[in-house]
Amino acid sequence: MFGSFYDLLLAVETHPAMLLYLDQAQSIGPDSFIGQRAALRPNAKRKVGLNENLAREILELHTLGVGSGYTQGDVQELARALTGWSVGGFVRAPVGVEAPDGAFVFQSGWHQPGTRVLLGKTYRADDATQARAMLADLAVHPATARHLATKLARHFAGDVPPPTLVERLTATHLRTGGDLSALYAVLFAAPEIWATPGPKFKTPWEWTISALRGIGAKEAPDLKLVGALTELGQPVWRPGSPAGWDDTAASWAAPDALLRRVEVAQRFASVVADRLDARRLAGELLPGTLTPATTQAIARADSPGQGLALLLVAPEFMRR
Amino acid sequence: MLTRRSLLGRAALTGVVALTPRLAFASAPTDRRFVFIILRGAMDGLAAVMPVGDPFYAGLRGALATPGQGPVTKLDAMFALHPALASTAAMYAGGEALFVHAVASPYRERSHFDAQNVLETGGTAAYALKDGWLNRLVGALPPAKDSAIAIAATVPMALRGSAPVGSYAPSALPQANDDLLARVGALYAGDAQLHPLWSSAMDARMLAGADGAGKGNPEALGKLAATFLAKPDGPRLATIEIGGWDTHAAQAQRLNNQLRQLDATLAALRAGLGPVWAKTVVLAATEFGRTAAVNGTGGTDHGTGGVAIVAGGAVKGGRVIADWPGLGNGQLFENRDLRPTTDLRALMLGLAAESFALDPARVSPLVFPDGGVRAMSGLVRA
Repeated sequence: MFGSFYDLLLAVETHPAMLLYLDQAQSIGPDSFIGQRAALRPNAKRKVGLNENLAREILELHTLGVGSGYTQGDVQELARALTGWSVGGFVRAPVGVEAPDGAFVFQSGWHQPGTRVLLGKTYRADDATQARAMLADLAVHPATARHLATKLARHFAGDVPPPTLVERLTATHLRTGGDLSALYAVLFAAPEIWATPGPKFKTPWEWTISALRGIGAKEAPDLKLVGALTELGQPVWRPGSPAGWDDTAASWAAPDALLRRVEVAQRFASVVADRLDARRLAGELLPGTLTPATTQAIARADSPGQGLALLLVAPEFMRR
Repeated sequence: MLTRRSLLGRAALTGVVALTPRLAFASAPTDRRFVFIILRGAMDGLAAVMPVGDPFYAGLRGALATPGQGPVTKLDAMFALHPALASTAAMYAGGEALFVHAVASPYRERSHFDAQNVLETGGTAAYALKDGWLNRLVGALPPAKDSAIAIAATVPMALRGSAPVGSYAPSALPQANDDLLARVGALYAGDAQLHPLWSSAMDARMLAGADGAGKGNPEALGKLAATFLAKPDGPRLATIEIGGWDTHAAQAQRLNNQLRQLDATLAALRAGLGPVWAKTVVLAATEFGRTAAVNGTGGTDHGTGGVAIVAGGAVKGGRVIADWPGLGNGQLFENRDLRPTTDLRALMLGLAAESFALDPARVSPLVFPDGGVRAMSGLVRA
């Protein structure tokens, strides 16, 4: 993903999966046309009204970060501005609006009218651009810059983000208006992310994908990957909370999880052991990080399959 | 029990399962049955079939010379059988098993990878031949009417090639075997993060009683193989793979477990095949033998000459075939290994030709195209 952090943020917050997951697709302004109509029928089965879920997670998880100074009032104002952001086909098609099933749609009849105040700034536009303007400001807010910098540093440079790298990323974010390419450049230049051994213990997803790429398995009908990822502790698309999967070793490097990786590695290896020589592959997959201990363990494996399995669970392959 | 089906065209894309025991089959219109058990990791032939009559044996082997797990079976003036091979000993006594000692493939280096490739391709150098000797043997048999029977994932190199071959495997997901777990443990020993986690995982595994026995055990595979081979219209050739023979350390206990597995596999085949056992020949062979002397960790290292086990109701058993080279100074290969005096391919060719009533001179260039193989004879009842 290139472009600016705002582009990324907007893509995420208008994505149908996000709108449905965090209940935004059904959030209706109490003073909107539909909200007013519903108020006339207080005994209707289906209650309509504001849903703060997405607005709260935008401030807490996607931009500023928890404890960065925003208030419950800010959450409500963002939630009001977001009313009308929905998904085509989720409810009946809005009158006069082109809304293909599953695509983002602005339901003007659901939008809470009026100016909004977020973090002390007034947003007057009374349509879909109102929340967009808020997101644009949030994307370049200093708290967002620091929050994102911390997450990036943690993801690439280590579970304890190096403070100097966080500072460099924060400054770059603010200087460039959240230019993602500029942030990546800072990361690439950071010596911390190239440390040996790799500073990060791979998540099950990362380990699985890197293992499959390593053995050249583009299609894997026999590998039962969905089940494997559940066994490994990271079921596909079910992170358990809007915060997403945790990004520290403490969540993934556990005794049973290690044993499961060995079993899955054995299964992967059994499928390709006739095609790949782990002795040669080790140097290709782990340039600069392959240790003599792993080289020797692979060379002494009692079969090609065992050698491949050992490569896939070697300490240097477990990390990135 | 059986789950998956895949044709050889796809099987060619998949691979050897070396870490857990597996089965693969080929069918042919003959009433004879042939099973090749691949012992991956290099079985210690000097421990399985002990040359107790060799004056240098006890000195070289130290504590390994006398297995403590039970009485050995005296085979002849020179050799005794490891106590873990009790069922095999009974077959030997009944004339249904024989051992070929000081045997080796043409391979003379000490890499498992390369040696298994030579063992399975039947060539003289690693990776020189692209198909397996058993697959070429299938090609030498009369065409089978239904040769593409396939269940499960992978076909070992020995059976891979142009002749249609199927494969079957138990549905249970294989647990990582003890040998692999031990190697992973060694690999993590120096890692401050992974070592304690791994130790904890192994402790939990011990407490849960999941150490070793259970899913994918060879005895079950022997039974499964017998189920298919016993069918009148079923496959005639099968391979079974048993890994875990690389006993560099603490060999006494580990090898005892390995040999018990092999013994149970042979017993399960015999029991499962019933009357068909009389028409069956089973060859169990490994990629190379192990050092003549015990090493510093109670184990043995990669060697050269070893032993092959032949069992089956069709076998002219009850004897050890060996042109014994001796274990003394100047008798060992490169001053460390049992010197090979028999070409494993000669045994393979002899067993294959006599089992399927093929002319060894005619079939030899096909099955062992690198040549130089003189088939052993008198191994199988007509």
